[in-house]
Amino acid sequence: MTRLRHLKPPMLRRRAFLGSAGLATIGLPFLEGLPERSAWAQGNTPTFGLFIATMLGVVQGDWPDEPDDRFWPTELGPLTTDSMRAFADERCTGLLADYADRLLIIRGVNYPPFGISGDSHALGLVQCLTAAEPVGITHDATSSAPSVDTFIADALMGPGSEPLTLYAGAKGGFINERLSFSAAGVVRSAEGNPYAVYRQLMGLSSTPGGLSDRLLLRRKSVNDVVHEELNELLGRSELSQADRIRLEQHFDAIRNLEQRITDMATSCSDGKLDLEALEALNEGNAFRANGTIEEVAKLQFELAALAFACNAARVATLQIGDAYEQTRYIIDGAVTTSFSHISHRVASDSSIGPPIPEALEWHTAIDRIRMESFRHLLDRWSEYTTEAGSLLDHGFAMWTNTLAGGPSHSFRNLPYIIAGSGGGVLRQGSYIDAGDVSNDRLLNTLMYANGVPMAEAGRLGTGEFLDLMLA
Amino acid sequence: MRWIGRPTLGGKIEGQLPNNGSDASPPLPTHAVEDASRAAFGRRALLCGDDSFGWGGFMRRLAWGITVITAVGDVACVNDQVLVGDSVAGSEDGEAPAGEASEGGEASAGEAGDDAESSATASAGTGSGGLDSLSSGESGADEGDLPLDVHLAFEGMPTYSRFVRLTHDQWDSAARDLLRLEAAPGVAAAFSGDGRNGRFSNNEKDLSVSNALAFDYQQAAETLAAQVADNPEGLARVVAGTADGDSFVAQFGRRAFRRPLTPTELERFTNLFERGAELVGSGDEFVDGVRLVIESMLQSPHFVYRTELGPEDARLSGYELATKVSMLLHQTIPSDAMLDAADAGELDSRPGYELHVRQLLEAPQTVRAAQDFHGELFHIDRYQQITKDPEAFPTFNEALIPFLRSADLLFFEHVFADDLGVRGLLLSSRAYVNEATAPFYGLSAVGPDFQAVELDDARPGYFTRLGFLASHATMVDPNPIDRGRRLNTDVLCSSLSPVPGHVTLVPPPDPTWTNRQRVEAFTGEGTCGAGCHTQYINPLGFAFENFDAVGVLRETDNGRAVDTQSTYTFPDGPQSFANAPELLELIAESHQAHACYAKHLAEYMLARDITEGDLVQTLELASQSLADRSLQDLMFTLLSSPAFTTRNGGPQ
Repeated sequence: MTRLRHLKPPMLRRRAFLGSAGLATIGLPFLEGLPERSAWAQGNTPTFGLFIATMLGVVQGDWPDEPDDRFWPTELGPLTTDSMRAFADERCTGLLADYADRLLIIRGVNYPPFGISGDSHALGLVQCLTAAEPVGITHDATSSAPSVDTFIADALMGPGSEPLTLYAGAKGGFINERLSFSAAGVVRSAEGNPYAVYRQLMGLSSTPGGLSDRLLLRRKSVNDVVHEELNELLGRSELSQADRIRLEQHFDAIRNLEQRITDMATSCSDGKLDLEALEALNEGNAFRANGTIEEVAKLQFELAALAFACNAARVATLQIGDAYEQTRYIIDGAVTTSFSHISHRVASDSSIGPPIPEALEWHTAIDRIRMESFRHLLDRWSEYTTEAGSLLDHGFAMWTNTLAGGPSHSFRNLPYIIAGSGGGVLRQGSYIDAGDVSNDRLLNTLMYANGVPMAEAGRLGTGEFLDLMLA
Repeated sequence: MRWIGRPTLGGKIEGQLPNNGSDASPPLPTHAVEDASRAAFGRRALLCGDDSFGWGGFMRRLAWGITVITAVGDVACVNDQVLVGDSVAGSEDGEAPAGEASEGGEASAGEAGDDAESSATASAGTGSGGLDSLSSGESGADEGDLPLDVHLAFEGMPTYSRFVRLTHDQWDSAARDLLRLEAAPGVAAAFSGDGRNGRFSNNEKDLSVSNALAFDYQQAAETLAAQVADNPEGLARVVAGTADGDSFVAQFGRRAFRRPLTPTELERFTNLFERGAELVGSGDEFVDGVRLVIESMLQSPHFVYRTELGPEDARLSGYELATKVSMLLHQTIPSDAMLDAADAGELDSRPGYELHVRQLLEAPQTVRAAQDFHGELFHIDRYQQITKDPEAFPTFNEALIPFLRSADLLFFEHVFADDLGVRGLLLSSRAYVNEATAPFYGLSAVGPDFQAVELDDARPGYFTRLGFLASHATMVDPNPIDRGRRLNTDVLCSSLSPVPGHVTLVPPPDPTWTNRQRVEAFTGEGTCGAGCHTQYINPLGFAFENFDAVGVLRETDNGRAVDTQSTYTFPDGPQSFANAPELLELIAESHQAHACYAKHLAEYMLARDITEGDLVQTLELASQSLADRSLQDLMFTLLSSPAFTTRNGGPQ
């Protein structure tokens, strides 16, 4: 087994992010008045991880009719701004050229060879952050193991802690969120309304006067009652394991809520977060309207950062679109057909149907739109700074797709872009070939980069790591 | 659920495939299929569905002619999608699923299915005695020996939870009635959504309390409690009949928890009530106590969950039944009268319980349950994704979409309230139009309010209404594949294969073709889609080709006459039809449609996955439906059955 060589993340000073380092466009004031229980306030060097999954593949030349690669960098090896700009017109990863030195782009990673059969959309989504064999083969597909964010949250925030689980886009109903699993077969709901995320993070009270000491005490008293009731129910002998899991999840949710009230309510500021945009997307449920998916994704990037700053989470996931993503993008001023049809290259959600002649070019354009959105994350995260560096130094954002290509629906050579060093653990400024390995190794390595001690980080699949990813 | 064997690559791929799974070789990953296909064919190759779709396949045929799919792993064709990059399930114990290439790689679906049938019949252990015994359940149905030839998949994995969290709609309505508000507060619309695994949003498996939802509950409870406390009239309604903290806790708690509070609970909440002045501090101790108890009880697990805490397989308590049936039919807490009946033990006997069930069913608000059921079954939430090409359809715009939804909800209300059933759903001439939607039916109407109209014979039932037709179409053309797929899965419970296998070279499209010709060229005879599409998917969709992408009737397409004729292979054999009305008549008379509807109805009303243990109940419902019993009757049958009234649905 390949083992990760031990690397000690660079120490950061207790004083964390200070702000924009002179940039006027800063979205969030990182860590004003940190609470004592904050990960930042304990002399730790916390790192944060955001796992982003997009849908329906990228254009990477893995289909007989479409041999041109329009995704990957042109050459393995070091990435520089100049080298990436050189292919930016032809390959969408070039749009990230300004951040070449913060990127680790990885090819040669596949889902494990389980030999499973079924709906690739569902199976790819289920395996994306679990690297575990799916159970069920279509809309019933679920995971046989927890996802990587669960292991990270448990290790860093305590058992039962919840990762932040985000979503962007409409939920079509057939296969919605299926990325984050708290346990085998138990998918987490993902919040698709940025305004709701914001409210939850900030603990906004509808009570006039805000979070007074009396309100905090009242909440604690009510939570104590709920905990008593849940404990009584958990003490009943006739409960099944599923019943216990459900009640324990509820119990933990109340505990986490209380901790957030205690720790964060008066200390977490929204700074210059674009509240107007949040409210606009909340109005009339615009956040799930067709065509707002990228705007929602960008806000969710920022809210993940806010959650990290507020110590509400150390790890987050963001699923962008459902398994049969129906967004109709606007390309060259015209509304396209649904992305699912474009991905399949035919006017259906399957492999067969009348061809869409423009589909390849539209998919190419959509890849570029998605890459521009990811660049927004890089813009923002590089602005959230401390004297020791930006959020890209303190964490990482992994961008991937649940399928490798559009019409191929392949599970091989999945696209991975990792931005940020994870506290200095991850290699930066490189495009590497992992060599046909399974994604459990990549995820285990990111678990370590997220701050999970090495001895506990190999929780997925074979337990192996991917040395090539390390600095 | 169990896998009967480890899946292997079994799809038939024409050309050079290094391993087609017909031997004992290790399973190939999905990408192996793709790579092999790519290697075999240089260009314009389509990976698509195996021919193994159908009513045969690897299913268990029981003694009375009912085929039951017991687990996903048993099924060769299990998906309602035809997808690329997938392979067919096989088994490590040597049993070949339908469509899997046998020695020589040429086994057909039917051949494999026959093999599976014969072996499965011998092992079928569920049920005995034929349909006579199956169709004479508790409700006294007299359909007798009605023979059914149906094929149903029972792949569900219910948890039979003792703690079924209220849906967000139920929470909102329950808060309305508990606090005696004039209207639902609407706060639950912003609650964190649920991960959805089941077909229906009330499925027990998907209803838990996450961090985000706990926060939402807290916020909603604080908001509503403050509103009550700050509104003297509202407060008076909530505390009516109570004199002090003790009596308020007892009375309010009984309605919140849908049962009398235990002595421990009375003491707990009375103590909390007495801390109102300290924790709220408005200056009015009684009001503060009320507010604090409301805040707390709205977050209590005894309010948030519908519980079943009795012994396994025993009849639920009267209180549990009152809550279960009220939450299902009215999405809210039991009425005071229902709780009084539970107090009096009236719900502990079958006659007493059924009397109250009848009353609930006849209440006008039960319509909502019928609307929710059909709305989720037919995915009307997807209407919000409808987009049409403004050049092709200049009169269609986004403002129409809410009307499409409202009209369909009214149609579902018509089916329920007018004592119709499956035939009414498929064949009723009723439609609801307003000034915006009427022109699409060739009618005129005045004003935004809906009016009932009777359409002509060309438009029978839900599936010829604008909502279904427009949402199953591209921006420009009807989508017969999507329309056919929906009818297959939602109406006939057919299992479509996600399995690729063949690779077919396809011709370039001809600009003079009709929409049907284009679809046939890429999915019809001589292509890789010939199996699934020619027999099953396309025929059902082609029947609707005389409805364009926004649901308007048309006679020509691309300058040629539209062709709506086709033949569909029902479980009892192929049937031909000239158009959608004829097709819908055939479906309305098919055993399969009634059995499928029964299964879906059971899944919704039991709020859980359906298993083979529910077979008897499902077939009874199917028999009643086929005998033209109404939706209300079917619901009564289910509500009276042990599947609903007992813990775990009775002995499995």
